[in-house]
Amino acid sequence: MCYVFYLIAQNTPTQNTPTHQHTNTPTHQHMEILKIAWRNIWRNKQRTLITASSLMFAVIFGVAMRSLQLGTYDKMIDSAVRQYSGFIQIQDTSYWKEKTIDDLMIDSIELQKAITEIDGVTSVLPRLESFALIASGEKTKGAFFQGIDPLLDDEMTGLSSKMVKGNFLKPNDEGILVSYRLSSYLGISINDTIVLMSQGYHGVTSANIFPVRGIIKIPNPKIDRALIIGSIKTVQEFYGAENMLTSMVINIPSKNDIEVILPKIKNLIKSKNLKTITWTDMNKELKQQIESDNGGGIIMLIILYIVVFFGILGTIIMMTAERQKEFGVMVALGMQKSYLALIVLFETLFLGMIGAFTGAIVSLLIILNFYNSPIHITGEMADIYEQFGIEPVLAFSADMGILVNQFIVVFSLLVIAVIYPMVKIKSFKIIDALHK
Amino acid sequence: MKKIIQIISYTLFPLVLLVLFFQGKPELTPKEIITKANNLRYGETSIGGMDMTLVRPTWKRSISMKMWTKGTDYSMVIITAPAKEKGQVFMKREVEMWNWIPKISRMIKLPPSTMTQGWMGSDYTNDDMMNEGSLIDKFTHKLIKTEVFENMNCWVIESTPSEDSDVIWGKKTSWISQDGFFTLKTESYDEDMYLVKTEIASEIIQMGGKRLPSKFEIIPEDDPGNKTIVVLKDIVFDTEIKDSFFSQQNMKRIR
Repeated sequence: MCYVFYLIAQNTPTQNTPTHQHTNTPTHQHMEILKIAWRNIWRNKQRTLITASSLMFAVIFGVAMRSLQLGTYDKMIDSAVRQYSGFIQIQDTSYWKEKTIDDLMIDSIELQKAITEIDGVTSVLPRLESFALIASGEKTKGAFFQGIDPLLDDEMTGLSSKMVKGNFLKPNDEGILVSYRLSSYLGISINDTIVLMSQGYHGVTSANIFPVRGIIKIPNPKIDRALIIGSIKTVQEFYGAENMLTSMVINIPSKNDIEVILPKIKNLIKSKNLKTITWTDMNKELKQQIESDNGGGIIMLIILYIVVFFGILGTIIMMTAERQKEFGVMVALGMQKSYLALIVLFETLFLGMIGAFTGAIVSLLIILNFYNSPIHITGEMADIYEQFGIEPVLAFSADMGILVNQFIVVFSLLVIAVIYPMVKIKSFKIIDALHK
Repeated sequence: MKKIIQIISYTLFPLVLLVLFFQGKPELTPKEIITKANNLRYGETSIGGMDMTLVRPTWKRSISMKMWTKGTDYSMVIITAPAKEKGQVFMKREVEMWNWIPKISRMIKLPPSTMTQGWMGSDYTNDDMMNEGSLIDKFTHKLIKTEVFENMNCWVIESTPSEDSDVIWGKKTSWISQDGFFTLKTESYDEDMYLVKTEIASEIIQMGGKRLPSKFEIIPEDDPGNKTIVVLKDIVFDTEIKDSFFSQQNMKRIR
């Protein structure tokens, strides 16, 4: 305690002694302020730890909450977009409205080539999809029959890694893949034959027998209950839609590339009866679901911030009150109020650094751990997730932006709270303070 | 006694004459008109070939078929073209309708829920295929006016379903020509009395020993630009067909 006063006394400009000439240089003075501030915060360890830990937990909760939320959204977008729709599609102008098999586009290899040549486009996947009745023995079920280019599609969706039995499709394969839940409903396995029936292009009766090449497990349970995949040639033949497609899926590395690539594609299809559609338009429901959920998350976060803010403010008010006498003595000894305020500011910043940094490090460990091994939900909760068509997994996002944001927010809360002691120091009367 | 006979004959004779006079130009009841019109189209039995064209705003498609009918209870249709659908057979037997698809070797009973769906993607519903002819017994018929349609004098008959019948229509209005009993136009209304579709028959020619319309158009009301045209290519009436012809076994055999 005495040492502190000694330092303060030495550092007030009016009290310069010849032996400490060098203390006149501003940088040295600032260094001294930092030193005093650092020592000051450890004078009352308990108070420091309480304030720092409240900041730490604020960061941890904030980060964990956001990371979990954004991670879940990423998962949802991933299962809808990366595993299925892609970020951009080209379709016949009238297809999207009714999605009937009658509004098809022509499978033009030239167009496919031209789009693939655009900078940033990984590949162009032809797709032909419609509904069909799948029957095996006495059991029948409605299903979604999707025609894909096995090689190109696998590059984007990683379908082949989801095989649980049998082999993935070869190009122009005449067999089909059946999703896991659908196959167990029908009681079929590989090398069985199933019957598909539907109405094809322009009302043609589509009916044929297909061998099952493999069983594929789709994470989204809704899709897993009703998906059949065939090679594009096979599906075109089935629906009587030779050389026709429902869409071309443009495979691009990230959704951030959409703005650059979209105009180039639009330019290519300008004169044709085609249109582009992006993932947000294709997954409107998903987008709205995410937006509304995100709104709820942000409200929760604001409540958290308010609680944390008042916690911090409380400790700071307490600290200011406790140290009234100390402040009074120092100013009475000749310390300038602005220096005192600066010291208190640095004290608070140190506190914030300690709290927020430990918070950031701990939350980093938490989210990295859960990012690498997501929590799988089981039991009734899992059923609820499945009913909403979401994979029953609590996924975390490893986006470092979340961490930085939370750090900044909590730190700025602290900076706002520090206004109180600043004002207090500026306005207190020495005589009152000394009598406290 | 003689006198009595005399009196009776004097009074009866004008009466008999009167009756004969009114029967000389007998009025047909609306039901008889409808029955006659229906018999003209199908006869006791018929074997006919026809082409069906689906017309949609942006495309057209044709299907060829051969059809056997017997009375109003039995009918069988086999698709003869295009190649992709060739060999598909539909059979109506009393109130059941069956579909044989040779490509998958499956006999499918069309469930009642599909009765309002289009047959082979056309504007014909499965119910149209099933209930052809049931118009007569399941409806009560009323002659509402006579009108000239396509240069022919027509009876306009309104048929409303009897209360206990399982018909999907609210009412049907038919224009039947007084000369030849051709059903030239039929309008079908739903239960809320909105017009659902119109059938128009035209191109009356001599075929199978009869004069009859050979072109039928079905125009649905709520899909503008859509219609289905059926053209009769050839038809033979009243050859003997056994009831057993209309069997599931035979569906798999006929060509």
